[in-house]
Amino acid sequence: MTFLRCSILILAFALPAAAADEFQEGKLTEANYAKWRDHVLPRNWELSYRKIPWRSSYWEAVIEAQEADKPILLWSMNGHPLCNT
Amino acid sequence: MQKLAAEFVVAADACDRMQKESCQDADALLFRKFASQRTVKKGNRGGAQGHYAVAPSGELLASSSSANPQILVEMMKAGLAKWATLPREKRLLPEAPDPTAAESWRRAEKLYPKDGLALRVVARDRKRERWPDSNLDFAWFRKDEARSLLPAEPKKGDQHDVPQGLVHRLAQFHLVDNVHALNYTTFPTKAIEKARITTTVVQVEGDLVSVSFEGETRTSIEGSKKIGYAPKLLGRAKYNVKDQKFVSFELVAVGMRWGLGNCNQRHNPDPALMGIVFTIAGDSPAERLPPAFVSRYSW
Repeated sequence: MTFLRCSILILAFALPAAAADEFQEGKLTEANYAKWRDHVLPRNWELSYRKIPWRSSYWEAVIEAQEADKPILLWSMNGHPLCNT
Repeated sequence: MQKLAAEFVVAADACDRMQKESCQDADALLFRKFASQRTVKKGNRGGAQGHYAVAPSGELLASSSSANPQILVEMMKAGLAKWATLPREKRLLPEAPDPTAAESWRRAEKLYPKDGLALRVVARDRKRERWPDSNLDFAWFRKDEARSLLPAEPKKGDQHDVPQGLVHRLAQFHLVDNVHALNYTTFPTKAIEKARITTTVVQVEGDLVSVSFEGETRTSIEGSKKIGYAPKLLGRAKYNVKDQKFVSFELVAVGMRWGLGNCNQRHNPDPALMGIVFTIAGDSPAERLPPAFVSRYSW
């Protein structure tokens, strides 16, 4: 194995391992700040349900549906489904 | 699904209040009318939680309590089919619903600080145990509270302690474990062992003040149930002194949490890393929902 190939292999394996260690050390630092932030913040697919034009209250929907003569689709949870459920 | 959804007026709402038999609010009376008609064969999430297709009159068209999208699609189709068979008097309320009726149960929404700072708060475990593995809440600051996150006359290099009341509020009601579900266990004042955030002015460019945040909190409930969270906090923000508004804001909290909670679906009390990130909320109705514990803000 040439030195170059060896170095690339070492880099390929060592870099992710070092990054993982930094992330798992449990202490928030300036160095891992962005990594933690990006880990916690939702991905786009996780927020796709928020693209639906939900009325944020059932009563608001009743008023609108009565006027428009339309049925209501209600998603109801303990805690508001669009924030803390 | 979006095509189907367009046939409905779509709404999301909490059922905690509406499902209580003692609640006499107009929406609750209507809600219980159809929620009580629901029969769930499997996958009941508990109480009246789930999806409903209903007529404005409160007539149940179809329902499901499953998180499976295919089941939801079938439910929507069944709801539309039944809707098509209903005569007008069964579809609609005899009189138009009163929009002002909601004022009594939507008081918290009126507290929205439109000239202050509304933050979106996301919590997630370091290790993903199971879905859902993150949750969302909001944190609100009135205009004067938002301004007090910075020194009165910010100059590069200035350091400023964020008022204790605000840091306590974050520690008690926002730095909590709601990763899997809403946690009714918040931290009383006596559970706060540490709570400080220091703002440093990094740069002043015209009206724009760039700051960084650094701090830590430790909250701990002792007794038969030991619950706590001890994060370090770092962040950065930009504040426009002329408009008196934050134009960007990030605050990241990372530390060990331990113990369970109340209704938060945490089954493993062992200490583990949890992260919470605060960023500026949007301004759609879904982003203006009140923080879970806004009633404890002393506003």
